[in-house]
Amino acid sequence: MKPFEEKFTAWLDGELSAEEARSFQNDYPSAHEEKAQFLKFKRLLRQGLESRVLEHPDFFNAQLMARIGRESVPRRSLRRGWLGLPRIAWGGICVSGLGLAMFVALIPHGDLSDPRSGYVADVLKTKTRDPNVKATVDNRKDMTIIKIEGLQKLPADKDLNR
Amino acid sequence: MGIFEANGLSYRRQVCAIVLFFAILFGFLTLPAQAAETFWACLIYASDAGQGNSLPQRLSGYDARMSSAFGYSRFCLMAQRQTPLQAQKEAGLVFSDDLKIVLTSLTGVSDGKYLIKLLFVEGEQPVIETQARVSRDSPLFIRGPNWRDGQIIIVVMVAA
Repeated sequence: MKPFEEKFTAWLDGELSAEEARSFQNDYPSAHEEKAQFLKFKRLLRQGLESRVLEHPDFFNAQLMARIGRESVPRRSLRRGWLGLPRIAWGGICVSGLGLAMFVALIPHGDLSDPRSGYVADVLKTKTRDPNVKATVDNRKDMTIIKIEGLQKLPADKDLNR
Repeated sequence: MGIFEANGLSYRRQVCAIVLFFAILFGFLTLPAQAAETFWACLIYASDAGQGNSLPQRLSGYDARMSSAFGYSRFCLMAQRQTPLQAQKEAGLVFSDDLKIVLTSLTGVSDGKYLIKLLFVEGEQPVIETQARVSRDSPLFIRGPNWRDGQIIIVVMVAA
């Protein structure tokens, strides 16, 4: 069985069958007055809430957007601030990159137990200008020697300290 | 619409700023590898006469290897010279007025190595021309002319 409110609403909206409507009106004779008041109230509401047409809609929209823009800036900075998630992420990337760069640049590479382990002296090409002079390359461990043969002996009194 | 465009620009600026930051950072970190290099050379008299060695500090620890390689027991430093390296400029070191070592070319290659071209000049005559790949502080030995009872050894190095 439907409650009174449901029946009354359906009666106002004209959704009851003819038999049900007749039965409802017999049970509640004062319902007609209620319906008249409801229709009056509904008409008044429609009159008061009619949509207005703006005289300068573009100006209104521009003003509205400007106000939204003004109000959104401080709210955005407050939300993100220095501790915003993107900034923390970028900060992390920067610090990691800096650490990696310092690691690559400052940490010595190679075998630290032997200070000469980084020795590199590869002779790629040797050319003598004097046909009587011959140059050969002797590659040893941590020592590369270019041996020049055929040079004239230096005078014994030559001062090599100068 | 304008707000979203502004956000996009801001994001792009942030990315550009970070890329620029890293580029500058790596630039500064690699600069010292190229800067403040010197071309150093010395003249050593190798012989069997006398006792004790007087090798320069840069060759400390090479005594035994030099003895084995050159067949002499004593090494005496006669002179050493050095000059700061400048890009696109020759660097020459002169010993005893007529022995000259000229670094005619220096090019930085990967892993901090250098491609160098050397010219050894005796008097006015160029004797040998050499191209080599060297690392910093790695001496290159040149077995030179005989002198008195021994031999002259020229050592060259790209040093810090």
